[in-house]
Amino acid sequence: MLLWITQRILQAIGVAFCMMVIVFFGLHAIGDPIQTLIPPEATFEDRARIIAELGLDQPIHLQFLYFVKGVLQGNLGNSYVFNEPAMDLIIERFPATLELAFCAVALSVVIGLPLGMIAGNRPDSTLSKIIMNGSILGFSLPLFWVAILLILVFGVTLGWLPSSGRGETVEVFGIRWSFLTLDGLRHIALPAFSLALFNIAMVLRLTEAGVREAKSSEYVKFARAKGLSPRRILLVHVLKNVLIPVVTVVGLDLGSTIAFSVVTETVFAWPGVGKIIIDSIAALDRPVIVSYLMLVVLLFVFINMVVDILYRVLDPRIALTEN
Amino acid sequence: MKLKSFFVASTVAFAVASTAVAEDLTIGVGASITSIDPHFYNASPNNNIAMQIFDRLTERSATGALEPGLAESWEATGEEEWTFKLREGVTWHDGEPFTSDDVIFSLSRAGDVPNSPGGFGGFIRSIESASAPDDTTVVIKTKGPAPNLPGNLANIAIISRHVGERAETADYNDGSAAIGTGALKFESFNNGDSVVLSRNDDWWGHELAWETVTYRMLTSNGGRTAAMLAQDVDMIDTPPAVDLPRLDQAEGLHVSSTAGLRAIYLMPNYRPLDEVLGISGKGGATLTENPLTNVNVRKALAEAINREAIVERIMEGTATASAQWLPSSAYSYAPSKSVEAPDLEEAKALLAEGGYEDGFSLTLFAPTDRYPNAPAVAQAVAQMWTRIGVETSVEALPWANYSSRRNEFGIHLIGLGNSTFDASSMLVNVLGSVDPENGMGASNQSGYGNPALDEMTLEALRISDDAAREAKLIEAVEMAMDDQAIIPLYQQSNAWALRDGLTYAPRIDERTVAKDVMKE
Repeated sequence: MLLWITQRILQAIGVAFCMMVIVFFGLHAIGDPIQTLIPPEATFEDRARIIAELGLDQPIHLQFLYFVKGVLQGNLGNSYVFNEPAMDLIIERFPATLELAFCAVALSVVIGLPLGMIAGNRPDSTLSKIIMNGSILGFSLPLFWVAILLILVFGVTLGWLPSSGRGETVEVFGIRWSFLTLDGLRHIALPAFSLALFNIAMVLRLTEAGVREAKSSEYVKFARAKGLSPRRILLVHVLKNVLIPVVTVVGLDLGSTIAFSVVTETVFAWPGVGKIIIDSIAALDRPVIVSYLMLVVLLFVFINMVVDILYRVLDPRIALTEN
Repeated sequence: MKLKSFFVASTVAFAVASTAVAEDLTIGVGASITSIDPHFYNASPNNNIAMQIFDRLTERSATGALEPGLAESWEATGEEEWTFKLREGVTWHDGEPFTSDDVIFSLSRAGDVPNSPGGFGGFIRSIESASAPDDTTVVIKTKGPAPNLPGNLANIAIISRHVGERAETADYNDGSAAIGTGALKFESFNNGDSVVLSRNDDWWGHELAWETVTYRMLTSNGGRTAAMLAQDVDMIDTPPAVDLPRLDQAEGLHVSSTAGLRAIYLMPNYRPLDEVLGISGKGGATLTENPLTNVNVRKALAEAINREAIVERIMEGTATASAQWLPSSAYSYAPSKSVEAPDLEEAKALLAEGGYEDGFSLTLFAPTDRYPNAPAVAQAVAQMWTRIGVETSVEALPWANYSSRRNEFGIHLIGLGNSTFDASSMLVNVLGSVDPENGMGASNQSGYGNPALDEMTLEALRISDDAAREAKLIEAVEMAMDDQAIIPLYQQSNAWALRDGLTYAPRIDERTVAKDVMKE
C-alpha cells in the first residue's frame, strides 16, 4: 500500500512537471501580457520598468529556469494584476469552489441514485419511463443555458432565490463556508443544482443499468430463492454491486466538476477559482494560470487515488497493485 | 411541512433583510477589482473603488469638467510652475490631519509602485519636483510648460505619508493601509466577490445617501442583468447592449446613459508590406507597396463606411457615430469634422486616384471579447469595403492574443478610453511618432508618424491659455483627420441600470461612483 502510494506521488510529480512545461511555453505563445496589461497612458520608462520587474525582458528559457527555481522553493510567482502570490490567490478561493462542487456531487448522488434504482427496479412502469426520458434532458441541455434559465425562473420571475454571489458565510477553521447558514444555502442552491444536472443524469442512468443487470444475475436469483425480501435484495445486495461504477464516475466527476465549474461560477458570480481563472486568462496573468492548472493536475491524481482505495473497500477482490 | 416552514423562514429572512438594507447600496460591476492600492494598477474597476476611499487634488464631474477636490484652487505661478491651495480641516479616516506633505508623498509614490502592471506614471511625467511651503500649499515645478497638469492630477489618488510610508500593496488589500480622506471608508475586500465600504461622516464633500456601499463583481453579462431584474442589486454598470430595452422597460427599473469618451476606430498599419498581415492584391496578386500608406486609399475606406447604419443596427443605439475620436461635448472637439453619409462613387474615385482602381484584398482584425459587438461591426465594415472593390474578410481573435499582435495587423479595430478628456491622449500616445526623448508614441502600434502633427501636438501642450490651447488642439485633430491617420467609427455610450428611486448622473468616463448615487 505504502509503495503504491509512493508510486502514485512520483507519478503526480512527473505529470505536474510536464504540465508546467506545456503550460509555460504554451502561454508564452499566446501573447505578451505587457500589451494586455499596460494602459495606453503609460510612458516609455513605465513600460521598461514594468517589463524588467516582471522578468519579461529575459529570454524565454531563462524565464523558465527562474520559474522552476521558484517552484522548487514553493513560490509560483506573484499575480500580475493582484500583486499577491498566485498560489495564495487560488487557495484562498478554493473553498468556495470545493463547497460548490461537493454540493453538486452530493446532489447528484442524493437525486440520481434513488431515481436510478426506481427506474431499474421496474423498468416498464410509467414513472420509470418518465425518469429515463427526463434524464436525457440532463445530458443534452447546455450548462450555461440551464443556469440562466434557473436564474430567470427562481431569481427573476419567482424571486425565491438569489441569483448570484455567495451570501452570508461563517468562518470554520479560518475558512469561510456558506453552506452552514440559511442565506448561504439559498445562494448555493441554484449554482449547485445547475452544476449537478449532468451528473444526476449520469448517476441515474448508470444506476438504472446496473440494477437491471444485477436483477437478472445469479446471486439475486439465489437470494430470492433463499426467501430474502425484495427490499433487502435491492437495498443491500444489488446496491453494493451497483455502487462500484457509480463511485468511479462520481470520483472522476468531482475532479471535473471542480476543474470545470468555470461556467457556473461565472454565470452565478460565485467567487471560486473558476472565476479567477477566466479573469486571469483574459489578462494573460501567467503565474495564476500556471498555478491553477498545476493544482488541477494534482487534484485529479489525488482523486483517482481515493477512488482506487474506495474500490478496494467496496470489493476486496480488486487488488491494488496491477502487477 | 418541513418544506413549508423552510419557505416561510426564508421569506421572513428576506423581508427582514430588505428592511435592514434600506440605507445600503449594492452595485453590480462588470469587471473584477484586483486591488485596493490606488496607485498599483490604472484599471477602471480599481479606480472606481479608489475614487470612493481616496480623494484627488482635482476631480472630474460626470460631464468631465474639472472641479476642486482636495485642492480648493490652483493657478499657474510661472511658465513651469503650478501652485495648489489645499482644503483646510480635512482629516484622514484615522483622524490624523491632512497636509501638503501627504500630497508630496503621494506624487512620489504614484508612479513607482513595485510590480505594478501599469501605474499612473503617465499622468505625472511632466513633474520636475514638488514642494510644500506650508501645510496648505503645494508648489509643483514642471519639466516644461504643462497646462494639462491639473487635469492629469484628477487621476492621482492622494494617500497619507504616516500610513503609506510603511505600506505595500497587500496592506491596502487587507485594509490596514486603506486610509483615505474620501467619502467612504474601507470595510472589507473579498477577492473576486465584493468590496464593502461605509460612510465617512467627516467627509468635506456633499452629503451621502448611504450607510454602506457594496460593490459586487458580477462579470457575466447575463448574470448581471438577471441580478438587476431580480433586484438583488440596486444598480449595475456596463449592462449588455441587447438587454438595455428590457432593463429600461422592466417595472421598477430605469437606465441612465450618455455618450462616452471611448472611441472605437480602425487603425491602419503604416509599416512596409512584408511586415504586416492581411494585405494582398486581388486574387492573391502581389502588391508593390502597402496600399494603406496611401492617404487616398484611407479616405476611400473611410468614405465607404455607413457609420449611422452601424450605430443604429448593430450597436442598437448604444453608440454615437463619429468622424473623430471625441464626442461633440468634449474639449478640443473639431466641429469641422462631422459624420457624412457614405458616398460609394467618391470612394471608388479616391481608390482610383490612389492607384487601386481594381481594389485589393484586406483582412480586418477585431477582438472578440473586448468591445460590445466588435466582430459584428467588423463584418459590416468588411461588407461596405467589399462593395467598393476592396475584398475584405474579418478575423476575430480573443483579446489576450489580439492585443499583443496588434502591430502585425494590416488594419484592426480598437478602442481608446480617453483619460485626458481632450484630443491629446490620442495625439501623444497613439499617433505620436515613437520617440522616448519627448515621451510621444508609447502606445503607437501602427508605425504612424507625421512630424508636422507631432510638432503641432507638442506646441499645443505648451500653451497655458485654455482657449488658445483648444484652438491648437482642434487644428491638430483636423490635420490628423485630413490625413485619415485613423478611421473613426463611433463613441460608445456609457449606461447604468438602476432601481427606481435612485438617480445617477451618467459619467462620460465610465466610472461607477457610489458616492454620487442619490435617492430621489
